[in-house]
Amino acid sequence: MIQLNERKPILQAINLRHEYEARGQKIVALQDVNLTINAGDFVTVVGPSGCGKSTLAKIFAGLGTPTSGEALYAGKPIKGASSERGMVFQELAVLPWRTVVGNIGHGLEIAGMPKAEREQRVAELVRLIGLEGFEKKYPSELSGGMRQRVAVARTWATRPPVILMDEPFAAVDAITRLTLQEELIRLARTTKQTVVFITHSVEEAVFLGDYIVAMSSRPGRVLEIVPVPDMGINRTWEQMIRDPRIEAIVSRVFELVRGRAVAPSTERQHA
Amino acid sequence: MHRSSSLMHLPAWVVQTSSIFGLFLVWTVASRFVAEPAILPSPAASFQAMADLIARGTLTSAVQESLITLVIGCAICIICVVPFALSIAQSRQLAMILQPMVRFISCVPAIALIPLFIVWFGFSTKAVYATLFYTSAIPLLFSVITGVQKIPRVYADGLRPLGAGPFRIVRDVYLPGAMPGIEVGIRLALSYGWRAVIAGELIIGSSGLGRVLAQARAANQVDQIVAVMIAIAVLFLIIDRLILFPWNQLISSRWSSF
Ligand SMILES: Nc1ncnc2c1ncn2[C@@H]1O[C@H](COP(=O)(O)OP(=O)(O)OP(=O)(O)O)[C@@H](O)[C@H]1O
Ligand SMILES: [Mg+2]
Repeated sequence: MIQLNERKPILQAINLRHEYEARGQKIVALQDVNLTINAGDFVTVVGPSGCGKSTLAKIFAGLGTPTSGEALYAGKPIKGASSERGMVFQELAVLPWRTVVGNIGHGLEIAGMPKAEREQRVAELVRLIGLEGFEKKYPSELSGGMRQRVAVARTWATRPPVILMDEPFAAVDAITRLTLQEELIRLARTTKQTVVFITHSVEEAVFLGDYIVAMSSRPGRVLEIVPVPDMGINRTWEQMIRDPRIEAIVSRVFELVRGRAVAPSTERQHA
Repeated sequence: MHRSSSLMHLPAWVVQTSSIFGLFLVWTVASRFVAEPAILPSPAASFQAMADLIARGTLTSAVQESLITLVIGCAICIICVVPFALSIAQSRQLAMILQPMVRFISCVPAIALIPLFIVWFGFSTKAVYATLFYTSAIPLLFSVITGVQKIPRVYADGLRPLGAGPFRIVRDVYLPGAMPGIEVGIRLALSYGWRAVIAGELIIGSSGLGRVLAQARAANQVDQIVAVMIAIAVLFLIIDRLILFPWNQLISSRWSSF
């Protein structure tokens, strides 16, 4: 196994700017975004709807090119998608004509893993996401939350060094979500993967992240990077909500994303 | 069984076939009224003519010829058009550039091209194949392109970070995703193609049911003309109901989530 230097930058955004053009109108989705994510980090990105979180994730995945600025992976400019950076989409991306196991094993199939080994790995993941008994079902026969779990497992299956997750648990019920979040933390910590987790829930961001990237909207900028004290690999919600430090961070991030915080950097007075 | 509820609780198939029986009834009455078999033969006379044509082997061999032309022609068409459509639909720009051209070409009805095909290929089945190909390719092309464009973009985007290249994406996303469109396209190709085969054979006179029609007309055998017409309709109904319809049911159940 390659020993990763813990503080080695793996994803970088340098003066990123992204504009969309819709029916002649220009929309600035991202502006002046500078961000460095180190290998092994669990980063959460939080911000109001429309602040460019999905846009940022797609640029890191290589599915979109920034209008200006640079996005780097392991020091090299990102050109196109790669199996080194997996992505779970906000929209449902699993294929309706493939079964649960067909979808989860898709990346392994593309990578050319032998069938027996693939089936074993897929079975492990099915157990992990709690979908035993649904292996041969098609996505149309599953609930929204179950489908999203399949999408997560599909991305996780190939163990890419970086996983970008765009609001993966939005359609999952609150109780299942808690289990999935705890499971995700355990998984990410044991595999040392880098996770960029996008959410619009401040609590989720604080619970999961090593640090939180708080973003503002119109245009989307990075407001502040808020570190979270290390709660260990076995953190639970119960433990987190009792901690006064966490409570302070939650309210700080809330202030930031709602635009009520006094920005520490420059003049960001808005009308 | 809810389909039969409005019509006196009869089974659906009785309701559906009753209109065809109605047509035969009107035809019988009309042929009595016209009383001129050289203009409108009775159903009985027409079926007699059909029996004669079958007994002589004319109809059976003509049916075989026409069906073989249809199947081979459509197969060639599918093999050429589906990959072409899948590849141009991948790029929105390419589809945008090519679509007006294809639409322009499709404004020329196939019948109008038959003279040209005769010049190129002579009075042979090749000219019939050309007519069939031209007629079937266009609806097939458009259906497949529409089918691909209906696939949510995120399906292809979702595979790229899993390491999928363009070939993988066509095979695993566009081909299965466009299945409903391909299915509609093949149905259209077969039904338009069937008409093209008959029309082509009728004008070119090379083989098949169209030639039998042309010969019957030349011999003033109206009962034979009607007999062949019935054979043409029944054959297509069989193809559509027995092969294409069950296939459609399968696809629409699997693909129901989008
Ligand atoms: N394909 C597109 N064409 C035009 N504008 C777009 C497109 N995608 C996003 N936008 C615009 O860019 C901005 C950022 O969109 P993005 O999807 O990145 O936001 P987000 O932070 O992910 O929001 P949400 O939390 O609602 O998912 C929005 O104002 C949106 O209107
Ligand atoms: Mg989004």
